[in-house]
Amino acid sequence: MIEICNISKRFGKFVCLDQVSLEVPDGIVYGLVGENGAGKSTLLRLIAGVCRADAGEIRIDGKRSLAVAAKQEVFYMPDRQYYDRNATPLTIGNFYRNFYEGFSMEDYRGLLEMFGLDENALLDSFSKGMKKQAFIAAALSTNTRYLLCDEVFDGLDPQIRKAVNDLLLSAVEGRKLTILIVSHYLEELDKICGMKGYLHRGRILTEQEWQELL
Amino acid sequence: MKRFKGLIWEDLKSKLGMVAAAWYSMGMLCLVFSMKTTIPTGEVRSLYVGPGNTSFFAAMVLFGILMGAGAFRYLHSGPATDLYFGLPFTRQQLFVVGWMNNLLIFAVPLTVCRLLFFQISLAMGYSRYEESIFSAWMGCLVPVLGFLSVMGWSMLSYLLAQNNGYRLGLFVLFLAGPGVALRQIEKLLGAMAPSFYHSDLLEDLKVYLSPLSLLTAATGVAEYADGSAWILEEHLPYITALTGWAILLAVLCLLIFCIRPAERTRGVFTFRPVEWVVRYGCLILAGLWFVNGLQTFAFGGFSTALTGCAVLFGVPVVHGLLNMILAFDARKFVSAKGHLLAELCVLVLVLGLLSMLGSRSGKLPAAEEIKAMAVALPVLTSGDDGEGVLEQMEIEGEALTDTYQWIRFICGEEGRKEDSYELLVRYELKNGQSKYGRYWLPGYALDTFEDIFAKEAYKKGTYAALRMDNLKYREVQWTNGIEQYTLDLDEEERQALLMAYQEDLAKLTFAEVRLRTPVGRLDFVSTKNQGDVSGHIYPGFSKTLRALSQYGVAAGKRVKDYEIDRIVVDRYLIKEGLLYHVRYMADQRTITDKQEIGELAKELFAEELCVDPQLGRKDRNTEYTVYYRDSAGQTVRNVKCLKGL
Repeated sequence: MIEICNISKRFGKFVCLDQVSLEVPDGIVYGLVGENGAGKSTLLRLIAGVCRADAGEIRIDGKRSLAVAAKQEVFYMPDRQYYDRNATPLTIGNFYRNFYEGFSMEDYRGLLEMFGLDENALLDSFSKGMKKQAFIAAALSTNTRYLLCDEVFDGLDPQIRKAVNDLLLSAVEGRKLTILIVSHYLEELDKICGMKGYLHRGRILTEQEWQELL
Repeated sequence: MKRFKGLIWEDLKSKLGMVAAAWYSMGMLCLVFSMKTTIPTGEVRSLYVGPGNTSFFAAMVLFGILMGAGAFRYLHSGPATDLYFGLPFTRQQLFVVGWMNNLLIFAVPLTVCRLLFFQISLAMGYSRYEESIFSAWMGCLVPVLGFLSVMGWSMLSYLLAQNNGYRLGLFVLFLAGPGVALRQIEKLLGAMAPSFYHSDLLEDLKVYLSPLSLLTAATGVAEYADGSAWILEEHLPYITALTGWAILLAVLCLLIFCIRPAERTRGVFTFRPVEWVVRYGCLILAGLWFVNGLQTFAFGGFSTALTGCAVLFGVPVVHGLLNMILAFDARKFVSAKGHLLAELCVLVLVLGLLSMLGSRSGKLPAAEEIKAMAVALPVLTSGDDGEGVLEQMEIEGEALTDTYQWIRFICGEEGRKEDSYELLVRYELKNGQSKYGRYWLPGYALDTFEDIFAKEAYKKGTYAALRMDNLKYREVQWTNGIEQYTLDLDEEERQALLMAYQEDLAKLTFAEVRLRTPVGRLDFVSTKNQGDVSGHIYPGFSKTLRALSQYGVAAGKRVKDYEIDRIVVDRYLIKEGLLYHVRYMADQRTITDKQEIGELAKELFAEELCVDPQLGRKDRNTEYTVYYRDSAGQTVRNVKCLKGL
């Protein structure tokens, strides 16, 4: 379970997250929505241990999110992926295989094949959506217990989006994967999310408050 | 473990260019060395394989800068930072892997190539194994420590600033700032207190706080240029300090790496306090420079009014420039007025502290605080230089009281006066510290220095020949400025000559030094690289002259005793103004008349022997070139002479 307790984060004078508390139960897809600048991506980076909170605590299965033991169970897929100029899907797989014990090259190759991606082609020659597919394949092959996805549907065509949805749901059902998704694609979230949270100006809103705001 | 291996491998892959560059450049240094045809002789050879090698020094600094700046390049890009910080490692682990990889990338090729370098040196006969093996190992260790320290400063600059321009600026500030500031402080203290000459503390700070000075001192690269041997004992304090800096910087970088925000922050620096440190650090540097610059117009003294002008006009200008630089916006010249006031206060405070320090350091210490003294009249250069003399001399007991009183009443603490001679003094205090002073001995009181000169401790400190016990590992050379010979003497004869010379030196008077020109010079040249000792032979050195003539040296032979063909007289004039000083030849005359030559030659001395022992009384603007026939009478040679007493 991911437990977020009174997390606050400021950037200079701008309050990005103000005492946010949230619980993400195991084995579900949790969707986090909110307008631009609401603090969704920041919350995801805090959970992934990329940046530090000014106050509050995040625990993953009871372990502090910055601890290696917690980070080993989490795979963070940011909105913009970084890769080497000469990277191919194969080198990306080899890269993650070094760090995640559960990484399955067989699964990865299977997913690449499913998406129709050549494992030896340069990532730079891929479209935005194809790059995202390669990283989704890597994320699912790491076999971590938690997956943090920032704008995972961005750049995917409807057909691929459906395929990704199916993949995510089968992983949730099959191996009790917990997925926290940040996205503006509300329809997609409605299709797959078991729970949803609403972030507005650094605070978590109830569904009623969210509807009133809309 | 597998994860770590993976991280090390991925990090190495991202630094492959640097790995190749390190191996290539170190390998090229070996290749160039193996093709070298001219190698210095003697013990200097061991320096080629030791830490003082200039090529490896340059490689150490260059790789330190580049690898420090490139250690965590992913921090430059948001997505890359997300990738690396999101991996299942703590920031400490990420730092240690980056730091260790950098160390290995530099240290492995360095060690391999330096040992190969040593092998080439042995094979080509430039070094001997027993003599140079220690230097070779130190040649691996010291550059690695130096590399870690340079890398530490470079890494610190990278982590603290947010773009490459400011990183470079911060790095230059770290490297040069302390040295420049301390030199400005020294200059200012010299202006504030006329008797301020030297401070051991400032000298130590200049070496230990200035990264480049410390590197130079620890490796001995400057000595290498001078050609002296590398001795561990001389470098050990600096190597220890370098190790301390390398560790401190690594810890500091680790700490900053761990607390550094993953995202870009406002401003040019990662943390706000860094901007304040840079602002006030630069202000103090520039402020001191302004104050010192304006003191030029005080013509050797210190002017409080000029200091006030420097503060009032300098601080707003520096403040405006700093505003523009720190905001990278020319419109910000007039802004941050709160800082302007604080900057004024800080500079006034610093100047106040320096003024207090200057007035304290310019005072004569109380007689009861002094354990021993050393006095040097730099204008007397026969023997040792001023600073060397100060370290060698120990005037104690009754002689100390006399010397102290003489300085107090004759010289005083005032600044330079017309017709006065510089006098340097070191007080060894009872609390174990040393204090230095520069005083001015008035020309009219020059005779009173005879009492100080006559003291045994003074002579022993001034004349290195008096401190020598034997000449076992020295050969003796003699010159009268015209001819030069290495004397073929056995150990007993050398010892007898030394005794005679020491007895003559002990009887030497200040009047003789002032009023007589030396007739020759003895050089005791070390055969074990322990430094040469030289001493002039004055006309009154009867025992030395007798001993030399016993060994077949015409020690009393002067210019007039040679068969002179002609004398060319060059007269120079000097034109000088506030900003220029030009020396030009006014006329030239050739004297061939034998009678005129005979008269003139009686007053001429070889220029080589006129190294100011007459306290500058020689007319250096008329040069005499004497063309004489050598002993065989076949060859006409020439020698530069001056007219003397």
